[in-house]
Amino acid sequence: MSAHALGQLDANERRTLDAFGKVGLVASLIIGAVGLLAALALSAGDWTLFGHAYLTGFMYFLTVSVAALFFVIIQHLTRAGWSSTIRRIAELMAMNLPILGILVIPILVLHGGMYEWVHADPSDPVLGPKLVWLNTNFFVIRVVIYFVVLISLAYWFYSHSIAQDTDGDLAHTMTMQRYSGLMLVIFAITGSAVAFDLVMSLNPEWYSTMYAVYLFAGGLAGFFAWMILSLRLLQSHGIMTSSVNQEHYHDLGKWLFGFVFFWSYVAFSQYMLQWYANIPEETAWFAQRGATTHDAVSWTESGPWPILALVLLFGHSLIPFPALLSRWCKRILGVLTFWAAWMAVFHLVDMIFVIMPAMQMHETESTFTMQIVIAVCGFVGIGGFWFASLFWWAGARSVMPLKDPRIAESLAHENY
Amino acid sequence: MSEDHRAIQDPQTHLDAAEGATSWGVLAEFDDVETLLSAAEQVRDAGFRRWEAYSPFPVHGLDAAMGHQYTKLPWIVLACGLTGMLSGILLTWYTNATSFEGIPYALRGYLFHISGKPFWSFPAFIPPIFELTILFSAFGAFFGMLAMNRLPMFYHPVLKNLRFRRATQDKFFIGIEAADPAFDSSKTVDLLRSAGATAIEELEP
Amino acid sequence: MTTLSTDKLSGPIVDTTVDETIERPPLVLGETDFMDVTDSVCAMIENKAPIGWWLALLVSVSLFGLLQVLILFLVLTGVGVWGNNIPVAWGFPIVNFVFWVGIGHAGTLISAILYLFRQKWRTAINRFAEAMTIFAVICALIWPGIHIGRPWLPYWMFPYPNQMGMWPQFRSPLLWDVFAVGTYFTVSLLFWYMGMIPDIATLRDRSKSKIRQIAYGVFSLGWRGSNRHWHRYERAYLLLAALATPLVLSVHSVVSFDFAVSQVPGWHSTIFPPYFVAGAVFGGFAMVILLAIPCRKWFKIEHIITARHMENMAKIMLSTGLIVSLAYATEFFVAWYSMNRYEQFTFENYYTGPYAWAFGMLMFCNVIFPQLLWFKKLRNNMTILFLASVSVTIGMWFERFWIIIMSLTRDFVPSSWGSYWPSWVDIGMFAGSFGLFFTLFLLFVRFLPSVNMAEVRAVMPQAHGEGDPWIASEVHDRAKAMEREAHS
Repeated sequence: MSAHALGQLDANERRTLDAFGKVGLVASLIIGAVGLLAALALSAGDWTLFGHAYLTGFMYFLTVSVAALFFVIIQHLTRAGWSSTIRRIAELMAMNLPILGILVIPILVLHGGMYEWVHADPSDPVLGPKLVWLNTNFFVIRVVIYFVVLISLAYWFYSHSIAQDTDGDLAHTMTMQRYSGLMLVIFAITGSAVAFDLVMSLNPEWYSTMYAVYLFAGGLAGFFAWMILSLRLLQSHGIMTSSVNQEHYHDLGKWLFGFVFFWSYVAFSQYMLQWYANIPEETAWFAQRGATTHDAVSWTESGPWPILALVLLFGHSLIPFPALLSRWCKRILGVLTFWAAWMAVFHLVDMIFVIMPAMQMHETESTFTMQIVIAVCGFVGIGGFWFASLFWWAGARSVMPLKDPRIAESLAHENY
Repeated sequence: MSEDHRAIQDPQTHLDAAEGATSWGVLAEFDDVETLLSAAEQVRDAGFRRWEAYSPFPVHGLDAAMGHQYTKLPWIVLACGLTGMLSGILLTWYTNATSFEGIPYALRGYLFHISGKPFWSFPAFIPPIFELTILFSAFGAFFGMLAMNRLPMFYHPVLKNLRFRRATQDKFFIGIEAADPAFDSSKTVDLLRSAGATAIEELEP
Repeated sequence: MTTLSTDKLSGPIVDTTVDETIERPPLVLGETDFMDVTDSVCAMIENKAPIGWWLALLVSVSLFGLLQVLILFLVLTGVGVWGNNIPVAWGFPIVNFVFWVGIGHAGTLISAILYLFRQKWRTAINRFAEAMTIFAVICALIWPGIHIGRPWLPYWMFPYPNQMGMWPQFRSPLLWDVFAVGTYFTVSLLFWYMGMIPDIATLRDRSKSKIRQIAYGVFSLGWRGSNRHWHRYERAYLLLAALATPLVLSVHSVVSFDFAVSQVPGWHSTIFPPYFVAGAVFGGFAMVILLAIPCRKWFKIEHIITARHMENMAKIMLSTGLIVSLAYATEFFVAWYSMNRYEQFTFENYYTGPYAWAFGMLMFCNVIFPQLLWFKKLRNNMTILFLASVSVTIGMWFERFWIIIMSLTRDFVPSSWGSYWPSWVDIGMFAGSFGLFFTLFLLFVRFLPSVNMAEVRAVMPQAHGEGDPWIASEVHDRAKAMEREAHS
């Protein structure tokens, strides 16, 4: 335990992607294109359906990238030492926000078929007054602002971190630390607004003050899952084999566990409060998703959605919680990787759960199964481009912040 | 008053080999963590079994140096937690969602309609179930730790030793019991002294 | 005090608030060894009490006496002596309950959550933050106890077979409170006591008088610092921390459920659980800072609770304050976004209605004033930090006043509107609860170890063998270098 590394980097270790990166880039692009084309073909001209499926995949990776940005900010804010060797991966994931900023365009184009408020009658007693906020022009402007802000934040941290790779100047670290608090404030406001606008307004009558926290919690669980999977992938290609060790995985496992719990807490609170108060305009959202204790609603009106709700409850919360509880599970890489993959899948189930049932408000020929299949295609499509962007940003650069002042601490760190 | 505690600085040992048979064992004092760690390794390698290290705070690396097993305490806590959860589920279900015939009035469940909620309102029962899970687990962790450590134990040979009073303040000790098969009073004392003990004393039972 | 050479303890002045990238600031200052830490913490108990302590105790005990007299008056007369009315059936008692329970959250946060996050600086402050938690929860428990109408029947809240053939109603959030706050109190007490066992053993071994020796001897349970014991003890501590973390989250969430499960505009908001938790930590940290600033000065433990500790606490207070502010903003935005006339009216009423002054007070104390802590110079200034903590304590009390009173006085139907003003008994009892809190705290400081000596020893550079290269070498060297600089 004591003498391993002692804060010294292994000089022979590989820290660039090289050929693997090029293959990965091309493969991801192909997968992305195939996924989106499949979603297009399967939805057969039903643009509303395609839009929802596309939004599912989009929100999946947007929440992961936003969570990655949060992780980067919080590491600087708390002057964390354990995470310096793995922080670059999070920086790269946050730098996928630009590609998501491009991928949001189809949503802006298709939003007329997806968001009910676009066609709302101004004299409608419920929706009418809401058109002040929910109207196409303002919506597009806001989405553009959100992406400009988020991309700027991600780029600011990324560029400082990259610059430090060459000049090794400690001032970069000091600057990032000094402004991380302010950045977090900007991030929190923007992040909340993204959740309200892009997802919550799919059901414009419904509102929940907790909603942004809910998406954020799920996104962080997804982010830590992908962090573990990415590191395992890199290490299996002989990259960063010594600078990321069991202790880092153990910590990432703890974070993953923490956000499995936090998501459950937020999801339960949001559900229980609306279930208990039993106000029709609120419970309608859960009834649409089959998440209700009312027998008549759950098994007849919503079709198979109650099954998905139960799958989500067990898969995103009740099963991984005890599984990740043990220290042993987090320290055996095979086991941890399995649960990371599990959570990566169930983050998708979560996104399907919040987005796809909104299809019930639209005329559609498609069946439940078809909707799920197309949503998965949308996920694969966006995911392909997301990973392509990841490989592109990694490029020939080091996937570890080489001259971060806390590398030694990160390497010497131990969980006891 | 700190001078009083620092007064015991006489490093001489007054161990009488002839008395070894009636003694409980020997107690060696160490000044710093590193000496303690290396001494613990030497004692471990010399094949002792009935011995213990004492320190005023948990010393990391000492478990390995002494060759200790990882504690089973987490399993006790898990069992207690599951018991708590089950008790919570049974309690809420039995008292609020059942009313069995043939059970004495005072013990029967109490069905009561309130705000249109079903009798078995699981979302509303989660808070008490959760709290009972935590409560039982915490009892498991606290009382489990005490039981495994055999505490409270108000009598112990080391507690009678004056020098040992600094074990809870700033000094480190290793105590080897005479009952250990590898114990041999003069050899054991030599081992401890060569390992860097600043003082060695015999303990009465 | 005489035997402590103060120049050795306080040592050369090291500014630990300077941010470095490579080296971490030392957690304990001066040429301190294990015995120095032991001595300076035990001195708080073993030396004569400063005159200020006696004065503070006198004031606190008098206020506590006031509380007892007023409770007697209440029980003999009835709840009519309070300002509570219909529609404001939840007046001061519930405001005070939520206020005190909130303060009771910082202790377990410091003990448990900062422990899980490996924030080693917590060791200097966790003990008295935990004590503060226990005492704040005791203060909190008084209010629902005397608010139930017939305070001699509180056992009706517990599930036991009875001649009435009734069981508690588990669908009621008030019963969740009984379980949540009860569990929280029990677990916090265990956590606090377990953390103290090794330190009580230290006091036992230093005792001069027989009475002390026996008293500390009994409570130390025969602790002797055995390594096997430490191993299980540390594991139990980690497990308790891991259990206490979701518990802290759940307790104030359950308190928030009391409001949020209802349909009252201003109460029925899904963000209440995390927002209440953040607010509780915010108010709790303010109280820890309020207590830490005088304590570290009076008892000369500034080398253990260093300026860095204060700065870290200021930062946590600022960040939880910002979370609370974001929650306010979210609530206002969503109330507007919902275009629900009742929601909108309630929120407009906050800043235009009869209690607008209270809302303004809240905004100033909780949102505006703490922003001073953004500036390093200001948050390292103990006067400003003290004032900010006072401001937050006041602000967090007004937050509960805002939520409870303002929402209840204006509900859906104007015919059921009302107004609320506390009676002198309300105000006297609230002041009295501070008396109880400070009485308990002052007694604690004199009779139990206020700093976790065992844990502080463990974060000192000497405590590490070669196993921890970071702490053993670099930080220690850096601390030495800083001291040398200060000398020259």
